[in-house]
Amino acid sequence: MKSQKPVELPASMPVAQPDYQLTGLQLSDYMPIVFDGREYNLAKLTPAELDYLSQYPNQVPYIQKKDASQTSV
Amino acid sequence: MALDYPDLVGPDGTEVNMGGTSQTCYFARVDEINTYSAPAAAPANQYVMTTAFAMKTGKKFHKGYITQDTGELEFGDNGEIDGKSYKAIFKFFYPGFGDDALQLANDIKNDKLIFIVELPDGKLIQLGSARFFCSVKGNFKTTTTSGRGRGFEFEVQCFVPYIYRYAAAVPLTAAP
Repeated sequence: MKSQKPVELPASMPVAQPDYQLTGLQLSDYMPIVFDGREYNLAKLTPAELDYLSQYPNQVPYIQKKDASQTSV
Repeated sequence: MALDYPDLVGPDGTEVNMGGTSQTCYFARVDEINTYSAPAAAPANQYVMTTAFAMKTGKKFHKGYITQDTGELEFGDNGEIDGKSYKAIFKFFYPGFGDDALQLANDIKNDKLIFIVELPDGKLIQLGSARFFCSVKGNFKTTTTSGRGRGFEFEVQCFVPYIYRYAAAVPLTAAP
């Protein structure tokens, strides 16, 4: 069978995030913000970072956490 | 408005009161801001900004590098009795004579900006607001051969009625 060439995403394509959606900022694979003494890349948040930033919807108004029904399996 | 002063109970030994600023500051052109930071609707402290700046399409806050031990912010007394406010002055040194610094120093001298100054523990102080803007001088100095070395001494100035702490996200990513 002929091997398939892997599809290359353009640099601006955001990494798929199963746990959250981003609004209010241009999507890419590097989306820096500074909050509470740290820089975060919103395109690649760890679960701990997501939990922390989600506590501050007014201060960090870019993150919408998906509920369980929206999360792909 | 009735004033209700808090007690000042002093340090408990856990504070970080290191002087100066961190080695990074943030700035944006006033013309590129869509909505300004604000305190919460019913704030515990009206001088703490917990609503983030929102930028116009394609715009964001910029980062500025600061040579170690050159960042200094002072809110000086301004005005006469019954008319008191602050004059904020933020100074920092940017090393070298690179094309980016050359362009910034030339372009920024008549512009109006908002600055966010980062303290050593990560707390942020906002300079400027929707009503009062910062102006910037970018003075280039060669210094002497045995001196610090060439670079730009930036000086940010702003008159403000209050000192504001910025406690929201700094958008270093452009708005859609």
